[in-house]
Amino acid sequence: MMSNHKNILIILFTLLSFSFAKERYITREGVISFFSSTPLEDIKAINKQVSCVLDKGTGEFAFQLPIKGFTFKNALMQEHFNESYLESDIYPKSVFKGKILDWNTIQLSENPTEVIIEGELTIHGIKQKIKEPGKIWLSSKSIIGESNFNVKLVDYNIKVPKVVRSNIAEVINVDVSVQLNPR
Amino acid sequence: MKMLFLIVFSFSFVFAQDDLFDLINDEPKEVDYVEYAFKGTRVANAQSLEIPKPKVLQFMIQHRFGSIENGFYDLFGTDYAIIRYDFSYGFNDVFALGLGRSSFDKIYDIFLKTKLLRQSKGARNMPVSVLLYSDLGIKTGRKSEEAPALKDNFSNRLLYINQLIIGRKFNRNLSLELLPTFIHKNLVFREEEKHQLFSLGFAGRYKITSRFSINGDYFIPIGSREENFKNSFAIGFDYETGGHVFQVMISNAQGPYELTFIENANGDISDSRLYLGFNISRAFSLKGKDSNSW
Repeated sequence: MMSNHKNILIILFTLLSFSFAKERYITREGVISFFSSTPLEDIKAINKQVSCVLDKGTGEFAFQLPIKGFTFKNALMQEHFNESYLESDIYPKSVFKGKILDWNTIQLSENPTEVIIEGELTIHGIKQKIKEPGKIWLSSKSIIGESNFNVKLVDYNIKVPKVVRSNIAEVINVDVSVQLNPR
Repeated sequence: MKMLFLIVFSFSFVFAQDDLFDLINDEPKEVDYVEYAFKGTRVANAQSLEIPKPKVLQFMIQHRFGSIENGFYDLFGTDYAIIRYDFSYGFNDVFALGLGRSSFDKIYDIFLKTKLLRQSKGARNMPVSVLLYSDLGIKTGRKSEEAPALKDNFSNRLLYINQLIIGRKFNRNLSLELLPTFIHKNLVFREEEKHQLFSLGFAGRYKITSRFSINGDYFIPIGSREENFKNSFAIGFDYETGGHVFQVMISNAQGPYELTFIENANGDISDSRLYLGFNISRAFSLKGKDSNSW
């Protein structure tokens, strides 16, 4: 009887410690860039203030970035981006919460593994479900993740005035790259 | 025992559910500067809280027509014009230097405009921005006919403008500022005319859409002025296109230079002696290959 109790307790504590000892990988220096290409003009911007956290146990992860962190070569474009399009004073952050599908079947190695990411992306205050491809691999103690996908401006209610409609693409290509370290 | 198991199990389950997102949401607070209080470096006539962006060379044309009082005869003054244009360069977020020339009195001027305090939120809360605008003007007209006996010393041609621009962006649409101004003229022509002139300016903008705003400025003198002195005002709008800021205004002062609009406004609404004008500025980015941006 006594040993039975002991066994249960051991199981309990193992469970408990299991839930505490989470393998979280985190960064605050991730990089997200985007690219808009039209016959008239190519526009690029880069943000190196991207925070990302991954739960290695579950494959769940989250992103957060300040919109004001995007830098453009052209300062006036940066002003328009913040003032007119993304309205960063009202919507200062963009957020993603989601998971890597079929996480249990994925064996992380030094070779990039193709994965599918699913979750909710919030830009300009509008939340959209997305499902996009990505890559994940190990590099010494870090986990590296990359993804490249397209964002349609209308989906996030980002309005481009007629005068510059031929300069700004309706679909923007977004490139994400993070190097996550154990927390 | 089963009970205990369930309790502990559900307990651990609760811990497992804590939001992953909270781990990155508790980011350290940084100083968040309030930017873009105005679209241009001028409100209408008056200086705004903005300077050219870092590594940006700005070319600005300030064009003022003749008085509108003759109506269609000279198409509301558009037959005549005085003009000032300047180049100014933003060295960083807080410091700019510039060079300008006004057709009125043939004044060349060199100026600096620098942010002494920047409005900010976050780690440091600063309710206002304070800028210094400092300008040295050189009149390059021929020797004055007003005072033919006067020696044509170089120093007689100089004038100095020093101005603080104290302002706040109250919200995304409304920005207001105060402009205590001190102008010193080395040479005056009449005994009643003062060398040193103090005044206080008020200016603001209200944004109607993201690309359009209503702007205005008004200056009152501190201390006495000559009898026919008029307080200067200008009211207009900003329209922003891709690389330009286009500002259209109507003012009771024709000259777009600080000395000429603050101290030499001569128009009047009652006899419709007002001047139409516009500012147009173009920004040239001189940023080379920069690792922090593209």
